[in-house]
Amino acid sequence: MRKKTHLILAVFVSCMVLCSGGNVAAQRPESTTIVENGLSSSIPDFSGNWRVINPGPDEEIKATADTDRGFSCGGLKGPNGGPLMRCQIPVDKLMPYLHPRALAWIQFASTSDEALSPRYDCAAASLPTVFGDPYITSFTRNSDKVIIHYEQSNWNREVWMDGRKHPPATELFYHGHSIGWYEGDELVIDSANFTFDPDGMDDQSHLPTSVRKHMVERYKKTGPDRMTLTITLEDSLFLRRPFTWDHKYKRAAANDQPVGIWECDVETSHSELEVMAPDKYEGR
Amino acid sequence: MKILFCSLGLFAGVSLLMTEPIQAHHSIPAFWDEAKSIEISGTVKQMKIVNPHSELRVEVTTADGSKETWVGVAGLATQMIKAGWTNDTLKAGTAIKVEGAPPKKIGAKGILVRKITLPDGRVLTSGKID
Repeated sequence: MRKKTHLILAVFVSCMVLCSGGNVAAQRPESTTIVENGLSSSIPDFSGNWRVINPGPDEEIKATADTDRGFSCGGLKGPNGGPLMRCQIPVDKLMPYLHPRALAWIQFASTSDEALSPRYDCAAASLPTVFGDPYITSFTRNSDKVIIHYEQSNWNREVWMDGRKHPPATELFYHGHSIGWYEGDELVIDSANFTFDPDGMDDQSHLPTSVRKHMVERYKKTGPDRMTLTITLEDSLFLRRPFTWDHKYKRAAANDQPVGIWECDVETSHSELEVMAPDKYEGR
Repeated sequence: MKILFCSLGLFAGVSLLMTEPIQAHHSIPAFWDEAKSIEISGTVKQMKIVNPHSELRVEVTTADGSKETWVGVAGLATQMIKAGWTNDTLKAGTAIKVEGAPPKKIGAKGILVRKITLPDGRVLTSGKID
């Protein structure tokens, strides 16, 4: 009888896990600080402007863009056969995590994927691509949310800190839905409810993500003007298992402010594509 | 005269600021042949400081007298704006010489803009583009 009960329980738990859609949300710990009325002075403060320090020989960044450096593209080639030199995710380390489905995507879609990238239709850089972009990232916080402003595409990301949960899976968003909390000196952000995105992992190597994408970011100050972001990405459609990597940030100089405008022109973007990349229907 | 000084001042400011590289957002070797350099001469058709990459359209007169439009890909608009560029920095009709890398796409009339020379010899560099 007890054995039968255990079996029923096991089946029930399995069903619950499967019915969750595979996106296992990060568990908000019981000790989480949920600030409901005003701000607690004890919570870590990431306010201000930050610039990513991409991998390179040193940790210095210029006052302007720092596009010389980036993660290894793992030997991937561009649509014209030339090597990809700088990726927003460490593709060399990511390779063993890629599901054969993702490898097939790379093999068969690489010719036309530049032309099919949403960025040429003026879509804002995906999460996590924007984390490594050579633009300013700014944090502000209030009682119920942290607002992260990305100079890239000049958009505000709302991270809900009021204890709410993600919406049902019927509600999908290009940049997903983000909730957050503090764990000690870390700001933890859990994002889900993403749409399918052909550049969902990286808009340089054009690695995609699906609606099963789930991402956890952990921001931690490592000094008065330094911060580390640790990202864990899971997507059981394209990854064998969750992949974790880091970005380092440095506080932007006082005179290094977001320009505050982002004028993207689809026609111009497409004319750029016409002179440098194969047509979107090539290679099929 | 005032306009002339303003224009000269603008160009001087931009030229000075352009010594800091202006950078785009691609893996250059994947799309452009950096080992080669090409040069086109013509007149500015349009300069657009837009994201993600600014665009310089140049009308070139070929040997047989026909006109063709070349597309120059320049730097990140955000950085160019901070460096002083506007859509009026290069006005339509201005004669220019553009140096840069050719695209790997065969036959494409494109150039990765490195250096723009004005008729009086002043130089605007779009800088290193990655």
